[in-house]
Amino acid sequence: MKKTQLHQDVWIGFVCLGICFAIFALNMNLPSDAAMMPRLLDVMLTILAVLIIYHGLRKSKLPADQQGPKGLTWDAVKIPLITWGLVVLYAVLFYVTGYFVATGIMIIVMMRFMKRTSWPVILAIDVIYLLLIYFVFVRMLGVSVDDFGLLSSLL
Amino acid sequence: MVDFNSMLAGFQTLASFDAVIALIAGVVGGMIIGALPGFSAAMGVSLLIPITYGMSPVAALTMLVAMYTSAIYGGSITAILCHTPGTPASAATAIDGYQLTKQGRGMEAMGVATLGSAVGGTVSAIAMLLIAPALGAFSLKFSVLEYFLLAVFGLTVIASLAGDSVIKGLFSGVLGLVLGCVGLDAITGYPRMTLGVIQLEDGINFVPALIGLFSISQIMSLAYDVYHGKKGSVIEDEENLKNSRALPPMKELKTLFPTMARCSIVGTVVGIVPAAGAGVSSWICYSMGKKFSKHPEKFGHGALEGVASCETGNNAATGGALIPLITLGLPGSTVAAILLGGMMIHGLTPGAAMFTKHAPTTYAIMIGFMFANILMGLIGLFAARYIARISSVPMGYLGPVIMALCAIGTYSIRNNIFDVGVMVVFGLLGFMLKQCGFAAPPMILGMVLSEICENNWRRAVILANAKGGMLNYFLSRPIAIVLALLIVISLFSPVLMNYVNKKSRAIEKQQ
Repeated sequence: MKKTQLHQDVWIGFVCLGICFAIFALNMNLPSDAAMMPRLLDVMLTILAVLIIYHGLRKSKLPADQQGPKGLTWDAVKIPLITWGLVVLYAVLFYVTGYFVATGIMIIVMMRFMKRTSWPVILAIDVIYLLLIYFVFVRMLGVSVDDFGLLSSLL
Repeated sequence: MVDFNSMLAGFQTLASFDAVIALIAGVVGGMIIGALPGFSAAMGVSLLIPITYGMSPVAALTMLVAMYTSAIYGGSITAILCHTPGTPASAATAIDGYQLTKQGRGMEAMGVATLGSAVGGTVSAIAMLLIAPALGAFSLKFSVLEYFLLAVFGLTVIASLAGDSVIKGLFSGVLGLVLGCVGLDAITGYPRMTLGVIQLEDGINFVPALIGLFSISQIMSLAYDVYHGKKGSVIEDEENLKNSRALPPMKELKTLFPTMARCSIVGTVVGIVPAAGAGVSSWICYSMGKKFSKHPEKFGHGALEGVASCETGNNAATGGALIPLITLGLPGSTVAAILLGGMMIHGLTPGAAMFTKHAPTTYAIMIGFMFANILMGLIGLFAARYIARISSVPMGYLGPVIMALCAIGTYSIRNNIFDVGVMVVFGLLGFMLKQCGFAAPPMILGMVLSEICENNWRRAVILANAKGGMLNYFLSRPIAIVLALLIVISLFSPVLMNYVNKKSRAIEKQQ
């Protein structure tokens, strides 16, 4: 007998249910007045999550070509997740070294990652961008992006 | 109803150096963002909000509304010259616009699109100047119950922003409402869902969340496109475009003015209706343009009337959407919801106060919106072909620069690295939502309206208890009853709008 593969919406629905339980747990010990709105919304979320699972189960019974696009394949999320990993590293570097050092490195790494090969263009964009941001944000708007991180301790 | 003294004061405020620079920057920036396929008006406005923090409310809001209207127009540049609609609102423009480009009349089509967008936007700005003050004065009669119902009315838009799955869209919207509850409870002062993180006691900052949901997630998608061979747009027959005329002959241009006039009015009205917006407006106006045309057979094969009708319609809808936003705090579209957040950041709460306490500022913004449309027309006539070239810049160069702009924009809001973390988390959330078929705009709408909705409801309950119960209190307020009825009607309007939209497209395909 052919085994029916569950549509991804079923699993998505269970993740949604997990979110509902987390919200419920976070609001469990609140006074009733403060908890009223989150609890009410949590009930609505739970109903919607169950509906997502229900529709997912119905889609599972359809032939594969009628189930609609599946966005949660490894091929579809691999590159975006690596990109997000780079974004996380950039945020950490921002915290440790400050904006200008982190951004200088990030622009080069990310452009190389996004298949840009011309070093002169990459470096020119990097330098022009950093100079522009320095004059606009630091000098004109007075945003203090250079007073923390590694660079500030060296200056 | 129009307060001419405040209008004059608003005009004087707008004439300041920073407001004029902001206006020009908003128009040019919007045209560039709109011309970039994959970059929406919502993304442009959300990226701009942090930059406006140090500005006066007039300069800031003028820049944001200028960005809004010109991004909608900017989408038509690549739709016509590259057959790649920059924004969903310019999808209808691509039909006839690209046909004209193939016939060597691309710049004429661009000229008509520019003129139509400027006329539509300006007419809607005039309508805003005339209608908004009256609606603002009416909102003086509103109490907490009416404001609660208005917020609920705003939430009914969720179904129209939901994308392919209404259930997932609703989930996204309700989750946005939950996220809006994070932080200290406004009435009891009790921390809710903060996980012990002190920075979350102020709530989740709206702007980092916005930038994460729209911009970071988009950069992640761009990386996927880069690895799967998707390249920038290519301008069709660029050599020929350089030598072609910027506008069609006057005789032909004159025949387009009735179409522009009709679509300006229809577009403004469609814009006012919550759940409609520029995308729906352009299709309705395109369909209407064909019905009124003496040569309907030309539609789809390169009709200037087709370009004029949808471009006038989508820009007219932007001004229309601002009317309920400024007067009642009703965001009828994603960009309007973001603008509502921007207004609140600058201390402007929609409602009657916009035409009393903040009247000069409000008039300055509305006049600024009108000038933005005129300026957009002037710049567009001269610079459209150059702006179109931006769309061919490789995404591999644009993505990292936008990433760096997101980080500094987010950080500069409160000079707080925690906000950068929020942006990163919401970036992943936005991407996963998109991959799983959930729309992000309802979440933004939920986050914006959550506080307004909850606080007014709880105050309404306290008032109702003092007046013999909620039912008695509700029945004693005729405006509340009308609003409740409007909510019911609004719940069904997306179905109707969807039907009208689909039918318009189906007729186009058949003919």
